[in-house]
Amino acid sequence: MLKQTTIDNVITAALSTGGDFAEIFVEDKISSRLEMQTSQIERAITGRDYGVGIRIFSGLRNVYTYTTDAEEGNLIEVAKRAAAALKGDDTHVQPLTREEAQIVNEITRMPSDVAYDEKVRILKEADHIARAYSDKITQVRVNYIEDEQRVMIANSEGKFVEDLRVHTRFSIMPTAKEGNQIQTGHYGPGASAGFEFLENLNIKHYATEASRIAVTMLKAEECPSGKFPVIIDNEFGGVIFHEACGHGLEATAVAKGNSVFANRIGEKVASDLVTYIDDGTLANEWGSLNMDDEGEATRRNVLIENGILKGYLVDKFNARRMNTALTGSSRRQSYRYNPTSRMTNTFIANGTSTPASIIQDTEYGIYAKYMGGGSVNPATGDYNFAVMEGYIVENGEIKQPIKGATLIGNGAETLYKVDRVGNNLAHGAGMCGSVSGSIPVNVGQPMIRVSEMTVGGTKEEV
Amino acid sequence: MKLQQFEALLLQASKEANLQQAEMYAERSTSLLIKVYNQDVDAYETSQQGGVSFRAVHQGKMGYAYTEKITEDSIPFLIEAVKENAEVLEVEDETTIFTGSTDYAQGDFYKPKAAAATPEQMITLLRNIEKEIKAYDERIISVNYCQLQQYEGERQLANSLGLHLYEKGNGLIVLANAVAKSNQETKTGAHSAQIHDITTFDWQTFAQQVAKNAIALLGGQSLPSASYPVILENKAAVSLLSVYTNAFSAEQVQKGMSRLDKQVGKQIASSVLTIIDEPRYKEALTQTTFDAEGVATIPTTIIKQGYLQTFLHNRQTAKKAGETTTGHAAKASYKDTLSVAPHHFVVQQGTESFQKMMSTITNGILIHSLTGLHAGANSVSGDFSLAATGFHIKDGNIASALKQMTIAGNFFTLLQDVQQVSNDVYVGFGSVSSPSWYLPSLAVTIE
Repeated sequence: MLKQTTIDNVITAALSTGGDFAEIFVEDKISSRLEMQTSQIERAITGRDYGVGIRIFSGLRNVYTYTTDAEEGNLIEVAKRAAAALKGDDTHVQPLTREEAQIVNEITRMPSDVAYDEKVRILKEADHIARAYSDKITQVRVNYIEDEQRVMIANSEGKFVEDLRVHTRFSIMPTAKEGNQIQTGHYGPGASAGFEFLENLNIKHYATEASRIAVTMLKAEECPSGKFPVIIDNEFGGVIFHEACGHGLEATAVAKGNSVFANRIGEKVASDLVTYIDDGTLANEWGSLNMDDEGEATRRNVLIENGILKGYLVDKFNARRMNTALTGSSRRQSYRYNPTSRMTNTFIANGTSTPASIIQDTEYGIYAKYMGGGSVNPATGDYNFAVMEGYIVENGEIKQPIKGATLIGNGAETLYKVDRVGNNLAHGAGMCGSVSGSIPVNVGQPMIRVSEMTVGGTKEEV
Repeated sequence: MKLQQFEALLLQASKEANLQQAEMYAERSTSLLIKVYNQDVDAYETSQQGGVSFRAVHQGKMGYAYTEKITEDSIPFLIEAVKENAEVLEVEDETTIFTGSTDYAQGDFYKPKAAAATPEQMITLLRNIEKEIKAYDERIISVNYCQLQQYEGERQLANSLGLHLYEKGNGLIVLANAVAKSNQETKTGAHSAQIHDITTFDWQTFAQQVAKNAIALLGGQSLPSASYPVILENKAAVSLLSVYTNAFSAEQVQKGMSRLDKQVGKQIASSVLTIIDEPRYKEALTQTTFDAEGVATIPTTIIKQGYLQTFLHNRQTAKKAGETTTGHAAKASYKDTLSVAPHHFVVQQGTESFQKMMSTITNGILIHSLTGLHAGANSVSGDFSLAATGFHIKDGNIASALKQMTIAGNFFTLLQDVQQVSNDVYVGFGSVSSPSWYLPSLAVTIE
């Protein structure tokens, strides 16, 4: 993507003032998006992101610069200007050695090779199925996204790698209406794969489920407020641990001690039932990568094992503060972001309870079938997340649907309160926003039960 | 390649490709971001970026494409992509490009003093702020963010009908976040501000505010979950309203995705609420003289004493509704297709102070901040259930901090319920500014 001599010259310029590490990240990404509403394709856009990010370390100083002008002269100029933020002498640069990336995500059909007709046909099918579900469905939005991101990463330690990341995602949001009530449902599966992902996707399942959620929520009652046992189903339900625990295990928060999990390796931080893993090598999963954004091969990182804290997610810069090994977790949305430790596919490992037994064992509580998103303050561990489709559980049975439920709590405390872990692990796709931008991640878990959580609803305490 | 040269080549190539209506919209910016941690420069980021959005009518439909690569080989890419994207559209699209408005406001938004701040001055300021925050109280254990960003941005629009528009803006923003700890309780407090002149910026007051925001939340108590009189502090009101501005978009209305459909002329909010969209609100971070299709922007009254005056329109939605555009064509960036969005909603302030408003409450709750808005607030139905930080108000004063809580309700009902707004407008960094709101009753759940 850049000539080797250009890379050499830029890295040399970057280290001209005493930096001890320099890296160049080149990105060329072609994206296409289609949006269908009112059963017609209403939006279609194709574009190209193109730019170069350069970072320089000097001890615990981190200088980052990026530009969309990849002419060698400009890159050297930009690198020199960034280097001017540091003071010191020329640093020795290692000769570049080309490395081959491991292949985690095999791509069968490049999305850009597939004609629009084929994509539109699938969107129409989804729209048709979602509308046919009920006459209460008044609007359906279907989106299709494809990205082909080519990256090249080279650094002063001699690393020189290239990679191709392909993402395809389908999402559907039906709107149901009855009287003055409007409710929406949503489902958005995605993969680090080519068009074969969409071809093989069970469109009927996702479109029907999304409509079913919207229609179900029309008849939902107000959610009670108070502290209850909460059962969270598998797949996207894993967003709770992503927020409650995952972000607090990123070096971004841990390195400076701004995490409740800092300096606690080997300590018990969760219920014995909890084993929490981040694995960027699951073939073609939405959060999987052949290599991270500093060129490290992704791997399987066990973060919590049977309740004991085992490790963190660590990137190259934070490793300097933490004095630990890299975990292949350094990520960025694009060349515009200085990369840092982030999650890939993070999930609670399977336990032994069956989902049916977890429901049966619950006298009174909330069952969160599908979760919306959430957020966390990593410094305090306080999290919140929204329940998209929830129910009351009474005497071991799932009863009426409820709406407007938000679950809040503290990650460190919630981890101890997991008292059931099911055996139906599944993953769900999401976009995670943090300091290095918005990136594709999977969250996952089997059905779990938390013995007590604060549920914020509109109905007074029961 | 210079943008001007690229523009000439692109419009010429469009003509040759028989694209009669063509428009190039470009954005460029430069920025310097500095973060200080433990008195050291922890991050130093510079950038130059930008891109070009291209749209043109092909076979009667408007196709879109963009690129960040401003080189000659991008021109055939844009032309081909626009054609392909126009061909796949099914909607009856009568969009055209715009000849231009008769009058455009004078747009001199450049702040030379903000641009004059040097990296050395910025680093010194950040060090001072960090030191001051830590010195404020021994319970402050860390300042996990202390950063300044200096930026400059320009946008321009050129089309085949000869319209040429350009504007430029800049700014300097400071943001800090402190972590406070007492016993086993950890809380964070943040504060941000726009700096007009770094040499006269009152950094001590700023730093003290950061520390105060964190300390104030320590010692959180619990209260029974119930409906309480609530004051939504100005920043929290800004957060909440920001989620719902799209309910005022004619695009959302026309798609059946707004609860405000058919409500123009009707009372949709309490009579204490007047909201004006100000494209050049002087305290806001960005000001603009033209929208994303080149229409001159003017202040628009959205809600007047509770009555809905108009929806926000671009030329396409206006045509569909048989009205005229309100100058709200929007692109989130050059990577976006055209939609509708507010410039800057300003909730008009009331006459009384925040203190006075609070003094009337015997047992209530002050909501200081809201989080999880992307997930807990449904912008279509209006239902929300959001995590919040705040305080217990007793006999007109703040009695104690409260543990993490949630507030829940429906935004459209809440609009009707607002009993009073105070005179403390907070200027949001996004597209909303607001004073604090007094709500006689809202469901609150406390941990």
